Amino acid sequence: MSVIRLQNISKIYQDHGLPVRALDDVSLEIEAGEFTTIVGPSGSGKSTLLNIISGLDSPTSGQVFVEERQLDKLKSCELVNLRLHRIGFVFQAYNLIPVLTAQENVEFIMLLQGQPKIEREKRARELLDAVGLGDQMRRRPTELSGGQQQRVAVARALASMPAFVLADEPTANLDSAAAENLLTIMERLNHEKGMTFIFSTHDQRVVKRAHRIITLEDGRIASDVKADPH
Amino acid sequence: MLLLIAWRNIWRNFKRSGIIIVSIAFGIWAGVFTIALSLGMVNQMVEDALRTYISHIQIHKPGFRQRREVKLVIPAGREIAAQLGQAPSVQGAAPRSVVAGMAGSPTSTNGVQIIGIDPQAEAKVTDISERLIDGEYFESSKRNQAVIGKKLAERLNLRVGSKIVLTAPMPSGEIGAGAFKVVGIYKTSTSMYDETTVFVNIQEADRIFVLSGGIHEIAVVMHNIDQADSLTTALRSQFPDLEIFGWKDISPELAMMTEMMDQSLLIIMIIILLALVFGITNTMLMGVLERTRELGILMALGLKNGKVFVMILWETILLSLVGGAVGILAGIVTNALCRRTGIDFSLFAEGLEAFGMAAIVYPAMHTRHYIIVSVLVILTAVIAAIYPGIKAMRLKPVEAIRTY
Ligand SMILES: Nc1ncnc2c1ncn2[C@@H]1O[C@H](COP(=O)(O)OP(=O)(O)OP(=O)(O)O)[C@@H](O)[C@H]1O
Ligand SMILES: [Mg+2]
Repeated sequence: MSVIRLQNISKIYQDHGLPVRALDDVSLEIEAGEFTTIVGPSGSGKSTLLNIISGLDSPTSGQVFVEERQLDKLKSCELVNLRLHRIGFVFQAYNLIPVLTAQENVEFIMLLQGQPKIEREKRARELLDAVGLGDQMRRRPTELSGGQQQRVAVARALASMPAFVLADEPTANLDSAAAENLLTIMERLNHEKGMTFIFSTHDQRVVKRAHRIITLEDGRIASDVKADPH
Repeated sequence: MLLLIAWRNIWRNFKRSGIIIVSIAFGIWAGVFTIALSLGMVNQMVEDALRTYISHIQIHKPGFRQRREVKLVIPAGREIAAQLGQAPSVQGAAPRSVVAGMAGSPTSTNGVQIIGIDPQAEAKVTDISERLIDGEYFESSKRNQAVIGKKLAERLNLRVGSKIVLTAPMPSGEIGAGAFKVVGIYKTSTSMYDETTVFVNIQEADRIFVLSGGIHEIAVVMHNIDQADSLTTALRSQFPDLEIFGWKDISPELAMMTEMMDQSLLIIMIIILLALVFGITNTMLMGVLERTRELGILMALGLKNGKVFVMILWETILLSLVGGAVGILAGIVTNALCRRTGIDFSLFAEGLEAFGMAAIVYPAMHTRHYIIVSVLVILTAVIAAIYPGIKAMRLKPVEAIRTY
């Protein structure tokens, strides 16, 4: 069963009155447990695609189904709840709430979900241990390196026990070691928990590890190939 | 956690928050101090007026207050006064005879009210005995003593020990006159009163003006002013033939003044806070614009619009409360310091005294007023939060996240 299904998605932005076709008739299905990357040159529509999948943005035409629910039929609060409970986010940079510690950042989303305190603390500790930051829980984002911040962001994305994780260029600001480290963590979660991951990236290090590579060009799918990660 | 985020956000841009906190604190402090000063002035004025001239309840024969005729005496006035003096809620009840006449010295004359008093009973009701600037209050051993005001002493060129001649029409219609010796000179905060009020012993007034023991006025002071109303009502049913007035009837303007003061102070505070609203809104708006991306992420993660608004609201309220608390505390400290010494307005005293105001003002502030100020501060914060809050709420997460 596909958790995500896009049917003939087009997205046209108005840029100073001129139409910009960010996505052009994109159809796509993503199965549970995939570890997929979306690649393509800058401006090819990667971020737009991810935003549309998560319901942050709406397509100009076409339909999006997330777990067989059609997004444009949902009320705005249902959409918020869908994001809160089913989707984990990792953004390119400056992901975290700067005034909260690593631990509080991770707990925040569970708090929105209405989880009890004991459960929140337990899971925040587990997740931060899992991303190798068990001893930095009390630090604020500014006291962490870029790679550490992204690891906290991954921990936060997973805290909500999402069905799938959307990550828009999660390694863009990381050095090699940090990027490898982050990918290893996500790979392990994909293996162990069967969590679905969708990345957008320019980064060859990410592409190498993907199971499926979707290439966008000028808003169209130029290729969609299964790959052997190594 | 929203509250926590809000609280920490305040301290994030320390300089900006600091500036607005200081301005809120300063505004509140100024407001609190102004209120305390004005209240102090009014309270003192009311208290002075009651303690010196009006007392809490006055009893007359109907018509006396308007016509001041010596014939309009209170039947069994002395007994009523004595009885009232015994009542547990009453601090003192003073019987008085009042005749309108003239005071004369070798150099000049002046129209006066000659008030015959029982010095002991009177001391429990009015504070003339405490307001002497020269000489002494009545001494039982001496005869024909008079206590006069400073202004009258100046007008008539009198000193302690000087002779003063008091003349007044008697109930019979003839003119009575007596020579008195000035034993004390008092000064109240109303110079008009000082010029026209002479106190003598009630027995002597009685003898010289042949009043046959008649009492024109009984002045009552309660231990607790709030009980004046109930005693007034009780006395009215007990003595239906007498005119019994509480201080609010005698001087409605005085009663109104306290109330009006409360209102005008509220207005002052509201004006100050209204001015602050713009500053607070501006600070919060800058905070929201600066955090566009962060707010967008929060919303993308699943923070509902309403909660975004609440978060901004909390931040504004906390910011204002910090400023408000500092301001109120500074106000309390300033008020406490000034209450010890009082603030000397003697530079303007000449002008103030004509209105019955004292030269030294002691700031006064009730807990009630502090509570009102605090509530107003919160209200201000809520108003100031509306625009930035809506602005934050309306952010589109996609666009907010794009801006980097
Ligand atoms: N809000 C917008 N208004 C106007 N044009 C937009 C808007 N968002 C995206 N675009 C345009 O849509 C196209 C696709 O943008 P998108 O951000 O999806 O690309 P991308 O593949 O993520 O690029 P990058 O690798 O640089 O992040 C671009 O040409 C971009 O300029
Ligand atoms: Mg992008």
